[in-house]
Amino acid sequence: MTKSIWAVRGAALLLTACAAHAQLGRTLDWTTFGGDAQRTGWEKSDSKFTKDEVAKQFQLLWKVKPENPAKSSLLAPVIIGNLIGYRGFKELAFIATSDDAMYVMDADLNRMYWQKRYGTAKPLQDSAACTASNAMPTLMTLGFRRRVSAPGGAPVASPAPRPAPNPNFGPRAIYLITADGMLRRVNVANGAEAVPPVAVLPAGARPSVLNMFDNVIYATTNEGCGGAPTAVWAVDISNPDQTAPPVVKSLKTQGGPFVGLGGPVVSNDGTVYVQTGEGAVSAGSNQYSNTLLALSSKDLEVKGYFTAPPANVTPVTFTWQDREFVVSATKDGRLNLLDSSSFEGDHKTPLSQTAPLTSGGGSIWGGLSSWQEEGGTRWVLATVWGGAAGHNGSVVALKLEEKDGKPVLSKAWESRDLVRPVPPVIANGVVFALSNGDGKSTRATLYALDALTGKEIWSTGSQVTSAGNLSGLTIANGRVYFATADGTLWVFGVPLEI
Amino acid sequence: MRKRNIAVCICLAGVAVGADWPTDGGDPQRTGWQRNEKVLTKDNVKNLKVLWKTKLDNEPREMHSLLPPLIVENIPTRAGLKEVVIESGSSDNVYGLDAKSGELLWKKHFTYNSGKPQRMGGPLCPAGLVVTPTVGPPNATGARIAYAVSGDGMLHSLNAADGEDVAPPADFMPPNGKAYSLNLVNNTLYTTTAQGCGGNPNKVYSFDLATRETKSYNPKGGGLWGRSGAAIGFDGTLYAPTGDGAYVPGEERYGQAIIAVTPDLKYKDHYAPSNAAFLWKRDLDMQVTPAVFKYKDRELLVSSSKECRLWLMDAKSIGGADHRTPLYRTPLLCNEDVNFAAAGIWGSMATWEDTKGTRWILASFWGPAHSQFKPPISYGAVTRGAVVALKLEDKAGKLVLTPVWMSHDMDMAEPPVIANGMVFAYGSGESNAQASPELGLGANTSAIRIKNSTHATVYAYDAETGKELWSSGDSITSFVHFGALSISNGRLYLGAFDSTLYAIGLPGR
Repeated sequence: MTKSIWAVRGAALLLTACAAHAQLGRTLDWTTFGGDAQRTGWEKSDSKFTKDEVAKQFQLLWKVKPENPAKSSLLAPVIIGNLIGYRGFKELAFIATSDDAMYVMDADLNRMYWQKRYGTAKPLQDSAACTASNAMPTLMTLGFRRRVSAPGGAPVASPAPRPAPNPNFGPRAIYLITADGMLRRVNVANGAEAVPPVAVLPAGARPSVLNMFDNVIYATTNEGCGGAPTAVWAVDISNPDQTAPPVVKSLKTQGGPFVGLGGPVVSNDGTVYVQTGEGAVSAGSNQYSNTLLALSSKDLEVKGYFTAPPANVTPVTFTWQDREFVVSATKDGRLNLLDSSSFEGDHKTPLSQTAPLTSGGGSIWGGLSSWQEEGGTRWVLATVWGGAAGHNGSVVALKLEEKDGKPVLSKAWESRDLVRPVPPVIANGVVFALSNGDGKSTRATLYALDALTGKEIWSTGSQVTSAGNLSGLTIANGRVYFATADGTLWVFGVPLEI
Repeated sequence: MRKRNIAVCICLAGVAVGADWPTDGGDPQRTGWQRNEKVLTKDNVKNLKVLWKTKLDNEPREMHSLLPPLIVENIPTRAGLKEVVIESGSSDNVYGLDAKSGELLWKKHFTYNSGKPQRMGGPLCPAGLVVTPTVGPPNATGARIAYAVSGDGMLHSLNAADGEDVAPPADFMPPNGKAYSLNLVNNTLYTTTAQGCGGNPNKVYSFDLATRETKSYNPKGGGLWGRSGAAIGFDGTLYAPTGDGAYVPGEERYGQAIIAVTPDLKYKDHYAPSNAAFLWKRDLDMQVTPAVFKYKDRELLVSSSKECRLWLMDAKSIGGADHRTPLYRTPLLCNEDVNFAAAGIWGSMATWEDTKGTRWILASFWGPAHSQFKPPISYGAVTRGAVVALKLEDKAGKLVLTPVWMSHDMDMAEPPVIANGMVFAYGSGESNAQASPELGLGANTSAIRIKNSTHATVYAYDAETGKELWSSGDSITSFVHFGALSISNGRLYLGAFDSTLYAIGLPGR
């Protein structure tokens, strides 16, 4: 039974942290779903653990079940690794809920730091998808991400420089889009809003997971919630005058709904990718279905499109050997490897395509992940649901290789059996995969797998007492976070003596 | 062995003669204990008054203004023997004042002399005279030398009687650094530096007054910003906290630790709390100058940090075999919110021994008391700071620190001094918040903090109960940043941010 992504699509969480304390440069942020705008799920450097230490040290650090009268879903948190605030140096986990609340936890101490219920959720009755839950808030930051060129010319996102102190607001803030479609600028230190909220989306629109790149927030909405169209949205927050309303642009795609767990994806060159699902196709009339759209930044002009029957999957983008690649998933369980040329010509010929990832069928679900070894080997990870009899699902790892002058994805390993896994996260050569469970006979189990072999290193065993809620995984500073269907946030990782 | 001990005792005795207060904390061990107080008693302390206040012409730099005063008596001046207050100011000034009248006897201003410009760098780096001087022992004629380090890093040797140079200035440290109180033992000066001010590394420095040789040792941690510099044990070992930094002993990086250094500045030992990683992450610096003392046949030291617990250490092995195990570790006294500013223990410790042989440890903290810290005697809710007194006890063969009393609430309690069964402490009135919700760390400017500061208040307490015996009320009109109380011959001295030096004592005595 495939649960609709839209039923669990979370608050779009994106958080760009300011420069960390100089003496604490190793503490990292997890800014958004998948950890970055490219949705790689890769925490590139975590100084808090090594692969060898996972088996010995990983354990349940804390769990929290916030007071949650609406019994709404908790979303995978975004993390500020080091807030230097008026109450001290804090690593904070921002947990949004599907009913317009925000809980902020001190991640070291398992203490509530601040919480706020916005109370703006408008009961949505206009479709089955919308009645599944209220609209969800979205976090963004005030940080400014700029692209710079790394040695060798590969464009990368720079760390967010500290914005100049602003007496009206402050240097550390998040953006929150509440159920009423209002963009709120929220002070991460105490939840205060220093400027009035601004309407950027239709009330009750239930945006996808957000993304932010070069001071533009991206989201998608699907027709049927709050009267919103099926559209891509770009909210430009680059105006230094934070009291000025942001510039909002949208592209109505008029076709099938947007799919995937991770919302819009932005590649390192700024191109915005969104994946639409099944529906009518007519490019001439901006009617895009079964299509991976490549859009220009800010103004959302269609740069190209690639058409193939899609899986319910957010694509992933990355730079490899100075080229920008996009990987998407097909309905029949294959991965398409694409570059910019794939969005031209006949719009349906990828650079290469894999065979179905599992021999017994099954589908790829949610999103894709990607990481790169120090030696340059690029890996792509996919979560497969279903398959041959007795196979619940798995994580499949593939290597990007050159074969006959052509880049191809070659299957390297497949994990142990996992029940409805969510897109994994990767750090320090370890893949963390969550077997979500089905909510009936199976509960959530987090596994640590050797990223090179898929060998199981560690698991939570039977510690987790509920199935997951399919909202995704977060990893930051030696801690892995996920939410379960009973409204609990679980945190496993390396203990820190306090 | 015995000969060496005798020699050390002779040298140390030369520093602490009479009821002087020749160095920050009163002695090289930084005990804060005036053993020779005869004038002030629990009976008469209620009559304390501001005897005099002298406004000096020192210009504050950032938050820094007057440093802890030093007191030396029987100084042969042109006007006869005088008790002289040596006060230093952040704009490269040193003053000599008559302790009885507050009259300015002399002033010495050091002209900045370096190829590098003298630049302030925010509240942490005032780039001036920030090192509390120290005064050497008297020579055969009773003359004494005050040693001071100017903002350009030069060491100056001044005649305590008239401020004249008695030796040419000497290169000691790089310019624009941030060094902490000088200490003098066995004819060698010591200090520690921090905050990387002036782009300088954070080190322990020494200057041999005989050879005029400078040495340094870098523990490769954070800033060594125990406010009273390094405490020096009875065998000459230096003990200093290393602030906020990585603890990687395998790489000889001793951040978030207490280090023990030999007199010739070689690494000797260290103690790093078992939760050092957490302390580093949360910016809970090790920044409290330890106090060293003898207890029965042992030499012990006690220190703390912003975290707000005390560590009792044995000088023989301050962290035990694993360098992570002190003799005793108290529960948290304060800083339940785990804040890096306006909370925790800052500055230095204090210790004294009563006539019954009970050893007392005193600590001052900022911010609210911890909700689980409940000493037997307390005086109401503590939200802004307090002084805490603990007894050193032997329980079942294990040394422990047992809380006895916590003072009433005071506005940013500063390290106390002890004399004649009384504890003297002050709330600095300083705004120590370094961040605000609206500005984040942008709130850590001298302008904002000065504006939000109030005034210092000095208190006298019964040392055994913490009962307030006297308060200065509103008589001090400015706050104090990184100052300290000095006490000698019935008078307390405190320098305030507005460059006013206060002397508090008994009228007519």
